[in-house]
Amino acid sequence: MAETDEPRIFLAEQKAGGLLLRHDITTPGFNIVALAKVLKIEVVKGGLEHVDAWLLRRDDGTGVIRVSDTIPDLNRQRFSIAHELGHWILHEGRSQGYLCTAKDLRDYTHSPEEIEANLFAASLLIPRNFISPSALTSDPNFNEVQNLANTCKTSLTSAARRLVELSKKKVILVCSWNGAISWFLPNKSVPWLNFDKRVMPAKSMTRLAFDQKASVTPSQSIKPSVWFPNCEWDREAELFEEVRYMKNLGMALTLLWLPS
Amino acid sequence: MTAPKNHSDVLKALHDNALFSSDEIKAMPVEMVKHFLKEDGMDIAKLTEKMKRQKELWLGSKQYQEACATTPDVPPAEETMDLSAFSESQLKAEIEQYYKTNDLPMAARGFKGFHRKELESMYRDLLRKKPNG
Repeated sequence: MAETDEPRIFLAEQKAGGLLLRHDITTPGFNIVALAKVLKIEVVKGGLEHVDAWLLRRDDGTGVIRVSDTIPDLNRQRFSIAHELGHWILHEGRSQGYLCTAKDLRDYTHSPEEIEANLFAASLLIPRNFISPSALTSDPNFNEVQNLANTCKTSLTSAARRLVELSKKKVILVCSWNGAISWFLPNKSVPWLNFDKRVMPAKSMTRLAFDQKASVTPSQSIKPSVWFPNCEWDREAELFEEVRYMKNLGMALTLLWLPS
Repeated sequence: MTAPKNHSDVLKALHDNALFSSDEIKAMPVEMVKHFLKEDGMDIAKLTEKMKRQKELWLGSKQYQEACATTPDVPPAEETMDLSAFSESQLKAEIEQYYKTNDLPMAARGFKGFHRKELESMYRDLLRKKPNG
């Protein structure tokens, strides 16, 4: 696949769903190492420095997934394994090895192969039927995201993406690095919410969270023009903003949503 | 007699009503059994396909359950394997040789720039003898 190709979003979700179906996996937080074993892939931990995880294909048709023991969060380790399983299933015959950095495991904008592997991982660990309908109809919030991440034993980012993707609310997820917007994901109710520039608004709660290194910024009502100055808004319009800042990663996730 | 609803019911009904003995049923041509089933509303092709899918599902589920019984959810820590006798250049040469032998390009980024620790890990992952290998 050329780097200019679009990531195969539906294929990634379809393949992940098929894998769960074939092995009759119906409960969240399933044993991902056992699933890898069924696919003839050994999973080991440690012995990495430059990368967070790799997948190596052996000439006998088996594979090895190795994850870094410097990833402190077991849920992130599971996501890394699921990501490499995505390469195993979606990218057979393309490369003998995938060596994935922390950046690759958060890539939703650049390399189609890494994006596909990330989408596969999120769909595998959080298939639609693992999410309660009430989570999709209630106001978006990080407690719900954290609950989903804990239940499905996956990373906060993948849980947030999944919830926003499937939510019935008008919500957008923003991921920022070092004070700049890295990527954003509007759900299907608000495809028109967009950013002209990747500069973080000075008056946003997210900017404040970066400045103060505050890990939790509760939901607050702000003027929508703070984030979207080029859209026309009613005087009464409000936008809610909630932020989780992860100091160890230098990254923030922001939920922005418009009340119904 | 109430019409039987599925394959085993049909066979059981044939047997219970003493129309055929077990041996006769076993000896009965497949086409004849198909005829009985078809008359009773069974589509053999669909049934076969459905049973094939069920079997695949059952096998997949069994494989996963068996793997769960012997595999922890958290990856095990790296096994120890003393590679101190190898120099870095030997490790690189072995890994390069592995890929050349298999005529597959190593698209992974710059493994030659790896620290020794990662070269050892790659060597272990690719070249060690598996316990059952």
